Amino acid sequence: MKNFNFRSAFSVVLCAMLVFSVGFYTMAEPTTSYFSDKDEKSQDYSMKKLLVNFKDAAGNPIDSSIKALDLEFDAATKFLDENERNNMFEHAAKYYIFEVENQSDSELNAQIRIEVVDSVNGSDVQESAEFDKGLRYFIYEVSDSDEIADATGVTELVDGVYVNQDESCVIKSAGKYFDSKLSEKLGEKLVGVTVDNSFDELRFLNTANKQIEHLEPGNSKTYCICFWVEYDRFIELDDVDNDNIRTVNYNVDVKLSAEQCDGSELDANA
Amino acid sequence: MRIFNIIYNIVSIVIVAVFVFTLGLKITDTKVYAVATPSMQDELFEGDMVFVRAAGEYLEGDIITANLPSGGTFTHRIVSVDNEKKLVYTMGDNNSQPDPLPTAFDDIVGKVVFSVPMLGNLALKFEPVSVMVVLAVVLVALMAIRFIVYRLKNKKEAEAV
Repeated sequence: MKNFNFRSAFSVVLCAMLVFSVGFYTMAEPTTSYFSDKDEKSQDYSMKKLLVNFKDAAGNPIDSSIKALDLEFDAATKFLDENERNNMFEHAAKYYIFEVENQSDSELNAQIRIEVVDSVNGSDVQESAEFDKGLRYFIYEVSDSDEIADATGVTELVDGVYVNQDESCVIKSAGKYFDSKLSEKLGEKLVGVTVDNSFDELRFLNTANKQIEHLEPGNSKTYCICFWVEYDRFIELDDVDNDNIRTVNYNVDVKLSAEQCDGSELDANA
Repeated sequence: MRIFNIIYNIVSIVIVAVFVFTLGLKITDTKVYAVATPSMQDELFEGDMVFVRAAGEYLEGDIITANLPSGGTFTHRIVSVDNEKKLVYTMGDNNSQPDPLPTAFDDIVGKVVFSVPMLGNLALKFEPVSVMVVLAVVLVALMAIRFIVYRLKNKKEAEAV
């Protein structure tokens, strides 16, 4: 009897433990997806249809989320020495301008991701062989594409890329400054930018580049990606005769996500 | 009888172990959630249960559970962290688009430390109260049967003597 009483009591305790444990897991809250391509259930927020359009500087829709750019820079002139300011580069900067428009019927912003990557291996240009060849870029928001033309006298649009035709400018890496209207344009953007001093050159860390942006429904923004070359890094130019015009090419892809996607509906109020 | 005792002992050990584990979750403030949608496949499937604990730091690649603006939670993977603005950007493994809004550090419930397949179905498919009531009734019935069998056995032994 004594054994039974102990065992009975223990069984009661075991039952209580089991009920507690099962109850604990049964009361777990569901955790859902925020935004699912595959989920057709109604969610308790207004995401609805994500509809974001990209346009180039001429106002033409950008159909593909990847824009391949073949950037050609004149690389004839030797880079300036510390105090030399007479030799000037021409065509020193190229600008790729595009507009993002959020037409989503939604209460939530769209997330726009802008990436500039090496066409060959897909890595960020700042981490790739193109960087070692001297290519640099900086993404910033502009009020509209005319802002670039007004500031720099840019007149020619070549394959979607503005070429700085009229403005001669100096970009000097060791002194970490820009001396041109390009610098005026970028200067105001450089406030608060972190420069990687360990490389002794002007290298914008990814946090300075506007690579992730949020856009409210019904709004649009225009972005400019400014490309230039750190010529001191391009050592093949050391023996170049000043009269011998040479060019250097860089192949980059501009990747834009949050594009128009018909298959990404999440109808919250269905 | 011997077999019954062996089974009883094994079941007892399992129940005690599960209870201690569950108690440990409460003590360490580990929260459990049932995965309700397929946006994190193939890492997490619908019906899985995730165990989530607050962490000091959240890194790219971590799977986190965070509060939704409109209530409830979502569980997605961190794709980038903005320490300056104290925001994380997330995306479901099974989605083609990142999530449209970043999440503030303060809205993160915690990091998924592990998951158990299919256990979440308990929460998704059954009402907690109903499950506990049914379980309690079954257990009481089993104990009653055992008690009756024990009394009958004692009575037989007494009569035999």
